[in-house]
This record gives sequence, structure tokens and C-alpha cells, in this order.
Amino acid sequence: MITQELAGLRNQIAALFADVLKIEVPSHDTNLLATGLLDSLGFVELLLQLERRFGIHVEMESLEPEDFRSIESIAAFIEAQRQAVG
Amino acid sequence: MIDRTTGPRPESRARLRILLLAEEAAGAQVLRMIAERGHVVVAVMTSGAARPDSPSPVRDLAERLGCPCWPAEWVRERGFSERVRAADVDLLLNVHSLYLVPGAVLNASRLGSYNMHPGPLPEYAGRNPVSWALFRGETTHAVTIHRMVPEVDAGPIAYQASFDIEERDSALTVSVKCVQAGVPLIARLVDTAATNPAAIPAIAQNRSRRSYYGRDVPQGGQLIWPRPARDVVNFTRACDYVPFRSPWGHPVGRVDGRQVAVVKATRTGVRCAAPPGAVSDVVGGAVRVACADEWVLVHRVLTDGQLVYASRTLRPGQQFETENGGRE
Repeated sequence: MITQELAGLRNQIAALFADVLKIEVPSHDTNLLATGLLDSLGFVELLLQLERRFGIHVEMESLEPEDFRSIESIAAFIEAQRQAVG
Repeated sequence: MIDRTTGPRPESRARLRILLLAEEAAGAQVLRMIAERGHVVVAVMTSGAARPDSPSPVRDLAERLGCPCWPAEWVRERGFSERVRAADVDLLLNVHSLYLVPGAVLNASRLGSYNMHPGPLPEYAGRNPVSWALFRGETTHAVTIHRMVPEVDAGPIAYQASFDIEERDSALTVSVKCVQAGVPLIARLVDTAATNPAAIPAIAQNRSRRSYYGRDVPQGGQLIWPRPARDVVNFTRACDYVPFRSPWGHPVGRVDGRQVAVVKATRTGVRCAAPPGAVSDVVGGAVRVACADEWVLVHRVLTDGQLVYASRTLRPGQQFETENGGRE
């Protein structure tokens, strides 16, 4: 069962995709990379937005594609980053 | 019959008729820019038009804007140039399209056909200019808007914008910089075409400076450890589109008979005297590997199809083979 906080995070990320990146993601578990919904331009913009909105930092050297597979995995990644920091 | 060269000039037209060949988010950005300026999009040609079940930001935006969407492959069909003429197209724009536009089509629009090329011309014509620039250790790069002629990337230059390549840049981030610098140049082209098309610059390319790059991957895709660390790292950066597929794959080496592709590597600035290819200590998830002059930190590798931290598969004391493409 997911926490309310994680559910809220997923909704915020879905809104970011729709409103800022102009990408309509069918569901929170849609594979963003395999489906081609997220391309290189969208991906870099996504990283910028995640850093700006959620205060996380993504190290390119240790970037894990799995962390960006879906809205669910992005939310889990942010959650893990926050817990690691705080 | 209207003379396409000296016929009615579109200065009198408030709205251009534009045929857009486009892919990816860059293509969608250009489509949005054209729509915002109130020009007529005759059609958007994109690969997603023929594949309604596959994601396509360009097709989706075209549908939302009510623009006709044509399959990109139509551009190669016999008689397509007549269709362009019949549609009274002023400007054909090519943004990241996967198809070469035949000469007859290039000449079918009143003001010409223009391409957004992710590299400086005439120095980086052809395929994968971003990767080639990184491989060659360039510290600046450019995006070029040029008129398309039958010879690939050889037409007169309208606009070019250059930018720095930082040491932390990868092929992915440089590609994005090209789009970020290139879309405003396309906007400038459209604005000039709409108001005073005679003012569109047409700077002939200096053919003596032209370099054309084809499909080949440098060094046959092999890492050469007896090279300076700078060269080894530049090759990995040139292939680094993570999390997306690299057109060059990733440079490979062999350790204990096993192929290991290096996906992420950075310089350390620490001089080394170990034999090139020697695997030294583990630093976090990375390992240090010897080059001709200094250690490099190998962070991520691809082995057996899996992207893993280098320390998961490389152990101190191991040695990258250098006999097969590994020596200069």
C-alpha cells in the first residue's frame, strides 16, 4: 500500500508532465522510456524540473534509467533521495 | 504557370504556408512556435502519423492543433513534389526528420527548404555530429540552420548559434543544447521569411573546411586504453545518451575474455604509471582504470546487457585486454 505522501508525489509528477513537459502520460506505471513518451529533450527538462521543484540533485554519473521508467519510479526515486538527505 | 523563382513574393502574405517534417520534442516545439505565430501548417510529416498506436509528441500536438498529419515516408514517394507544389507551400522545414528529402521536393516550395543540423557546418556534416564533436574533444559546438540542397548538409547557411561544451557534458546534454539553441533560430527564419524573405542569409559553405561523417563508429567501437585519459573519456561521453539508445553503442573492451562496454567515465587528473587497461581500486561504485597518462574513473558499464556500477563487474588487479585494437 502506498502512503498518502507518495500518492501526492505521483500526482505532482503527473501534473508536471502534463502542464510543463506537455506530455500526456496514460497512467502512473506507463513506461516513459520504452514507449518513447520521454525523449532526450523531455528527459533533460524533466531533470531540471525535478531539481527545481523537489530539491533533489541527479548525478549524471550514477543516473539509473530504472529510476525514470515511470511516474511511479520517479516518485520512489524522489522519496529515496529525500530520505537519504534528511 | 507561376515562376517559382520570381513569382508572387510572400511579403504580401501575413501568413506563410509551411510544410513541417519533424520528430521528437524538438519538432513539437517548432510546430508550437509556427502555430503561435499564426502561420498555416500545410501538414506535419512525422513517423508517428503512420503508427497511431506509438507515442509521437509531434503527431499528438498536430492533432490537438488541428493540423493535417502525413506519414513521413511520403516524402520519398514519386510525385510528392507535385503535391507540395499543389499545396502552395512557402517554406519546408526539417527538424530531426529521419528521411532524406529528394531534390525535387526541396525545390517545390517557394522560399526553399531548411534543415536544423545539430552541428557546426561545414565542419561537422553528416551523421551524429554531436558524438563526433565530443569524440574529437571539441570545447564548442553549434547548431546550424541551412538551406537544403541535394548534397547532404551542403546548402547555404542561414543561421548558426554556437555554445560551449562543458567537461560534464555528454552526447545527451549537447544534443539538448542544440535544440535549445536551434529552435529560436528556426523562429528567426520563419519571421524573416514572413516579412522579408530576401533578407534570409545564404552564406555559401567553404568546401575546403567541410568534413562529412558517415555511419562508421570511430576505432571500430573499441576503447584504446594506451591513449590519453582525455581521449578515452571523450569517447565514452560521445556515446553517452543514457537513458536513451546511443547510435554508436558504447565503447567496448575485454576483461578476462568478457566484453565490457564503458558507459560512464570521468577523468581523475591523477597521473599513473600502471599498464594501460589495469583495473585499480574501487571508489564507491566506480573503479579506477589506467590510461596512458592518468587514471580514469569508470562509473557504469554494460555487461551481459545490464547497466551496472563498474565495481559490480570489475575487480582490482584485472586487466583490460589491449592486444585487440587496444594498442596504437
